[in-house]
Amino acid sequence: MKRLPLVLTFMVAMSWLVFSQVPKPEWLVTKNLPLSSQKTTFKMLIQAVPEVADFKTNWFTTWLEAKTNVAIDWIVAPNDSDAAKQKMNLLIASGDFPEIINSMPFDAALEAKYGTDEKILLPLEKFIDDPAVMPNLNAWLRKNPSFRGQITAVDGHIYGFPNINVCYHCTLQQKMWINQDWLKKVGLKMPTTTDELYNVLKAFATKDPNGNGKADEIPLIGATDGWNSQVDPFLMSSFVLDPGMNQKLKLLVDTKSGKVMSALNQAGYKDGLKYIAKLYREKLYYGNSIIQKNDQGRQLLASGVVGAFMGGYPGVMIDGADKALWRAFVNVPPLKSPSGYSSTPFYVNDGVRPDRVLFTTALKDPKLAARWVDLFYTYEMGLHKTNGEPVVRWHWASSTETGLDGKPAIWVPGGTAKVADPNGSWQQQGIEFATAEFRNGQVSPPGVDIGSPDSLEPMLILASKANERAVRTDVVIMPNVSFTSQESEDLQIQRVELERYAESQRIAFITGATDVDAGWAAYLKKLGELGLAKVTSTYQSALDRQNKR
Amino acid sequence: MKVKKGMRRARGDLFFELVMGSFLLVVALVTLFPILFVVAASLSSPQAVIAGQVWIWPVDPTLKAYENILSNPKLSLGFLNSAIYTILGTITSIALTLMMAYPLSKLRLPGRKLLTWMLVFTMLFSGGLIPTYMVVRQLGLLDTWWAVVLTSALSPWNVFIARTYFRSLPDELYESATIDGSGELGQFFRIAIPLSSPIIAVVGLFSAIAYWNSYFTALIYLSDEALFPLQIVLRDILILGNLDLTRVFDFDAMVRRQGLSDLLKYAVIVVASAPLLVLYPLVQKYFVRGLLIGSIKG
Repeated sequence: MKRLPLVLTFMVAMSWLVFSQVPKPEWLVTKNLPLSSQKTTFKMLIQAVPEVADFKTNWFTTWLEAKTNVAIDWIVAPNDSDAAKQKMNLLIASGDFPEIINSMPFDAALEAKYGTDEKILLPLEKFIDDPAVMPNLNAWLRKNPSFRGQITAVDGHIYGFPNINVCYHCTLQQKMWINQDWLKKVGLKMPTTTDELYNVLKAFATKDPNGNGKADEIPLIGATDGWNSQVDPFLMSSFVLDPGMNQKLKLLVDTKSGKVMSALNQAGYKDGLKYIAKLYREKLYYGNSIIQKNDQGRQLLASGVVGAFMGGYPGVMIDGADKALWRAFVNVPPLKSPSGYSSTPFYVNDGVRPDRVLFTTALKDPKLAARWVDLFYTYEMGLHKTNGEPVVRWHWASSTETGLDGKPAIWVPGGTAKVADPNGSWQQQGIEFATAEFRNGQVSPPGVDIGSPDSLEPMLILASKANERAVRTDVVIMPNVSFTSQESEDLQIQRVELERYAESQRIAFITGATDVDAGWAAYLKKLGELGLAKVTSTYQSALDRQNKR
Repeated sequence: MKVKKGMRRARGDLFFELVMGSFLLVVALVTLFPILFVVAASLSSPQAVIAGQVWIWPVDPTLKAYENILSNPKLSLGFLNSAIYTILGTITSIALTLMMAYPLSKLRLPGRKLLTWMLVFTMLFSGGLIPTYMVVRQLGLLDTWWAVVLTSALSPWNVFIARTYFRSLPDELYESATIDGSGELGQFFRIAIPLSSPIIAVVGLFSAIAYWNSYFTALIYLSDEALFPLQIVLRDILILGNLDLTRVFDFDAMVRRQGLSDLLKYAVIVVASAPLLVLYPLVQKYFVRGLLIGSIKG
């Protein structure tokens, strides 16, 4: 009996030897810790999130302070973005600055105002470009030089440290979901062309696939406000690349000539409108989709009458708790139009967001703060920050485990803890460093059931791989560019009218209020009068400027 | 003849009452329905709510949402904070309002017009957001309960209602008190206060509602999450479902939030409105009277 503990220890030690993969050194916080021999406190403004109970008493805050000897004096702004901005403006206007601004709803306009104009933000290039101060971020930027332009302000300075969360399936977020049970019922295959889709929707409408004897089926729905749940962009991309709902001017770049153009006045757009108008006319496209809210769409889905819908992921319209419904819907890869064209937008830039953390002129020790920020650009710090205590909430993967992409896994979520801790980590607040390698390095349990809502990420990766084949090389969506304050002022005025006209005409064409063929010439003329060319040329010069950098 | 006429009038009254009664019934139903719906939805499973099966009766009843709220440290702390602000603020507000209104009701108070004018002035003009913020900061009130309690403690509107009310008390009462040897303070505490329960109820309810719903003062003066009132936490949860589409770059957060929002939305509304709904019937009988006396005899 006395030997038992010894045996147990031995067994534990053996299992570690066999199963644990020593994390690679580049994943770890390698810098000498603590960062400073004497305790330093930074005054930091952060936006609250409901998932984090209190930043002051948070487990990660305590851990971080103990490791780095850097403490934080918190100023917490509400989760509501407008309120948070108001609070930040008030703090700055009253001269009561925070030293560091973290995870606030910052945008290019605010960056230009506080950085370029009022000069209360510190330029950060000298820290970023010094491998002795910021080794991790420096290494990442050298590996991914294309993102440098994106995080640089128009005046040539970098004012904010980026947030990196490269969600692979989000780069292919224009998705359509179809009810595979219904497909079977009506005896049709997964559509691959727009004409096949038309036949499928027609069959959904007429062949009573839900089997209740009533013609209550709605073949295809969308909504105005969900994540990629507008109906048109997916269908339009079969005729001309459609950058999606947030890009009302549908700006594209021709890769060969580098020219910025708009899809709005192209022949493909006209064909697309005709096709969508046909679906609308024959009631295959649920008319309310152009006005309804996402929640109304969810309600329709839950009542079992919908054949297909648009959405960045099924959860946009389906509640994961309804497992049977979730299982029924599968991804529809991009469709070919009669001319053979097909496309899907590739949101290459979306994983990297500028201005996650900014330094103000109130900061007393910017170099120390930069070293502190740099720690976050490691997987080890990210896992602690987002997931919490190691072993209890996550652990490194063993060498036998594979990740979501089939390569060796990096980490395993979950641990000895049975219940969630509302104050165990910062969740998504603070700098994230989730590269594609990291996200796909999450362990994939063997024998994963792809249809279950619990396997969301592996399912989306598979779906996105299928969709990626339709990504075009001859034309891409307009990348994020930064404007001078004069340019953005001009754009604001020019864009309002133009966007409003384009939107209302799109609706008019689709609903049949204006016939596409008859109204096309007048539409093109009006677009020209409203200055579409002027807008594209402004974007062109911003893009050229960014490419030069 | 007379009888007939009277009967006809009675019948007319009856008709009028019927029409009025049914009209008010409809209005009451229209008002009640959203409340009943929210309560029912808070007790139903989120799936049933999404599917639109909930009407005014819970479907698949569950207390999961309330369990979640009770175990959510942010919400329970917010509730506690709001309760503190409301109780503390209401007491402060009643005390200050009465102390201001009573002297103003005395016509012999020197400088009465100037004081009144100063009060009216604050109703029309304010110092502006940033100067006010700086005053609060320099008083050392930032990140304390007092930032919420004191910055909105005195409402001129309430002072005027209370002043008018005090004026409606007969002067003879005070005169007899003076004859019996009572000073000004004695008159205030022994005569004015005991007679003013209606106006105390009105001022109390007005300020309790204002403090319970206070959002903006807390938003700008408080930076410590442990001090946030329920309204800020509530708003944070209610907007979870309304995602800002240009900012969907954190997919995992989006997925998690959609679930939390579906689950908690309605229960949070119930929890946030329940205290006032309970309070209102208790003070209502004073409320109408106090407001009437306070406002009519200007």
